[in-house]
Amino acid sequence: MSTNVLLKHTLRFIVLVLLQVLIFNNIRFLGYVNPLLYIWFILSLPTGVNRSLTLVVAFLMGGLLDIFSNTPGMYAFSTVFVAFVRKDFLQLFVPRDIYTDYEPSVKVLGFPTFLKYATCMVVLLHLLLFSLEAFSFERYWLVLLKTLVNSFITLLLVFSTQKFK
Amino acid sequence: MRYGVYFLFVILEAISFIFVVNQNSFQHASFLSSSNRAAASIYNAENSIVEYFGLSESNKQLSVENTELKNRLVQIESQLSQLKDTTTKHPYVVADQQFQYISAKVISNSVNKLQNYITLNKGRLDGIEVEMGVVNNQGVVGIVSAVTDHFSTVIPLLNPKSRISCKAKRSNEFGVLVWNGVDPDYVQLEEVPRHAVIHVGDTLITSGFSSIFPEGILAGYVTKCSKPENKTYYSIEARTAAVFRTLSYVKVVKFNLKEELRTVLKEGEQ
Repeated sequence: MSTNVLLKHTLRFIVLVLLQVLIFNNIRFLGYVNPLLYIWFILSLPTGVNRSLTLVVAFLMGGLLDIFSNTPGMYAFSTVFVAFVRKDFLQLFVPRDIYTDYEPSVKVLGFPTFLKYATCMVVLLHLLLFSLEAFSFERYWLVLLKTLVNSFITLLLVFSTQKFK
Repeated sequence: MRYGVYFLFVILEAISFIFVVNQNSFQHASFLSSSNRAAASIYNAENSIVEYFGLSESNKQLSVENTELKNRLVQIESQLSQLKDTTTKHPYVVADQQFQYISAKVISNSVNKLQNYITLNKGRLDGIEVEMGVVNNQGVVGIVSAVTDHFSTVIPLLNPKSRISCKAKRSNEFGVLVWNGVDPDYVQLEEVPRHAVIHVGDTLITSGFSSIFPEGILAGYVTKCSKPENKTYYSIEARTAAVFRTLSYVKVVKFNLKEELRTVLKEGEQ
């Protein structure tokens, strides 16, 4: 990885963590709107990046968010899990003949494939995080509602940053 | 080496999960909470920008409080002059010095989680300690859970870990104020027996049983009140007195006789 690319991803990492902590964790609309846009970083990490490195970066990112939002381990657990299954989702949806090292995006994968991939990742992340936060099956409908609403908002935000042509 | 990734995955997930499961014991580890220096200073910087947008609201609250204080002053002055008339040498008024207030600014706050936390810009060096009560000019806010030198973390009413002893102002019936995680404007009063007299519209105030809050601080107003057939307790919902969405300035309550009260309670148990 060249220094330029490394710099680009480090910048993305910092900006997304700050956005998440300062803006998206502070939306006080309806009491439960809390989209997790930071996952955009893991979503569009180049597939050429070593899988172990992806896990470590995901752990770092989750840990940082945990410290900021007083939720020990919750973001770290969900983020590492999603980063781990990313490869499987990509193998499931992306045709084999596409080149090996690419940044998943609408431009590279096309709208339907990227939609399927992003939806799976985003819904899984929200479900894991909100379940861990509740840490019981009491009032589980609230967790499901939060997952549904926030996944939708996060996906809208993710797609709003994509180039379609 | 092929299984290295799986090994790493399991280890990272195990570490995170241990943190999740033990979250209660990590609550007091302030380096892992938002009162940690780096996190708190970023929140501080954010607050110094965002604060301007809430200035008019804060101003309004301050001026309301100001008028109330002025009214109290006039009242107390008149009482004092009466007392001075009757007792020329030793006025029998001793100021209530048991509780002191330390004012602080909220630098981070949430209402959209199941477990919400507040971070304040004052800490150990300003005299704040763990388990002190936090109020604002509207009513009860929460209890301090972790302190560093310059910052502190508060568990507000809007957190299932918070249990605050309250009573109805009119009938003196006791209960415990908790939050069910659904609506940040409403909390629940539990453990009120069925024979108690509680009505919609009653005012809830702190009971003053613990050394955390003085007696009589506003906590909420009863909005729903029913006796479910199969329960031994009332089911009561109350609107919080403090508006958590727009918290800006709070006061930390310091109880000067805390140690003394604790010793006397301990001796009483023996």
